[in-house]
Amino acid sequence: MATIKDIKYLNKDFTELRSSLVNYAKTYFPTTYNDFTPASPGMMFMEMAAYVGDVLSFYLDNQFQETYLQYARQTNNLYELAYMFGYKPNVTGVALVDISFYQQVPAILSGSSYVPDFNYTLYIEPNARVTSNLNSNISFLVEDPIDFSVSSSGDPTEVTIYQIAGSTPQSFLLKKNRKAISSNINQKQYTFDEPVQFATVDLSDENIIGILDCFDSDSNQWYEVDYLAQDTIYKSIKNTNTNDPYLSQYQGDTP
Amino acid sequence: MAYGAQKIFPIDTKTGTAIGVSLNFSNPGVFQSTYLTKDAIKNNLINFFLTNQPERYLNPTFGGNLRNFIFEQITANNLDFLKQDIQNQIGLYFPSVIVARLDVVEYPDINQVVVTLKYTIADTNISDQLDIAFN
Repeated sequence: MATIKDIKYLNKDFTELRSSLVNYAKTYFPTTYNDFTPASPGMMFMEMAAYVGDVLSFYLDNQFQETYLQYARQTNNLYELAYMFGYKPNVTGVALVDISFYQQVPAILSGSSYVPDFNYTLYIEPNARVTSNLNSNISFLVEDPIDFSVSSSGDPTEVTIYQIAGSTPQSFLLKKNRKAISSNINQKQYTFDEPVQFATVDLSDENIIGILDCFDSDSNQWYEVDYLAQDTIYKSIKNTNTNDPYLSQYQGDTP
Repeated sequence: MAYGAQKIFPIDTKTGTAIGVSLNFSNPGVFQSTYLTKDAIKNNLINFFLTNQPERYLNPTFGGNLRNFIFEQITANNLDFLKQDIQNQIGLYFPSVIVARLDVVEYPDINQVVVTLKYTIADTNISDQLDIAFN
């Protein structure tokens, strides 16, 4: 008898496996077993083996399916795959509101017409806190910065004449729209002594929307990164004469 | 003068060539091979009657289903039904088996029913008897 036996690896379901087992017995055990009728005890064992093969085949298919984000069905697998692709779940839902911000700036003569003097425009830092006149206990957080000097299709600045003397505009009104969320900023302090691998701390507050920033006792800022090998963080810096005297002359150009 | 031709299973003439395995599996080495068609058919009948519907995967109608009668009252009607059921199933799953005699004897005092099946195999000189007691 040949030592290398012909084994079929493409069978997946009960019927195929049963048929292969019968053929295998006929080929390699012609004098040991010959009763392949459904009622024979030997066929019972072969069908049980085919049944196990069918179940294992299903498990294999199922395990493989669960490795794809498009086809995974188990919730925990879907989350794990999504985390792997950088998904960060929103664990808290917050009230959202649209707020309009206005600034009055003087008019300046440009050529033959008056335009807003953008040297007076404000820049409001991210995470500005806004409270309601009706209830000062409710505060809203404007997560995006507001720069009245910049107007684009994604962030337009509405310009209207605010004050006029005769036919000469004296001042203009600039308007920006932002979304704000109902939230407060809290601060927590934790002490880390001996270095611990992947140290974790528990935030005891409820309904945490996110972590804004993290500083150590030496005022160094720590950033959240997608992977620990990441060693560079890009920060957005406004291209002004103060920040960069040379390149600021190109702030209006599109590269 | 006519003679009734009788078939012989060729495998019965091959010494050392096993046909199936016999029940039960408590023998040394677990499996004991059967070398005659007569023994193989008897073991197949035992296996059939010990199987309940729908135990067999992808073959839910296979099985004598005798255990369904365990909790039935031992009455003449039930025994007649059991007798008819056994005959029907043998006709379905063992077309070559010809039932020569089927006795269903009840022992109500010990809650036991004994099924005695005498049968022959069509066109052969094989005949045998099977006794199944269940309670």
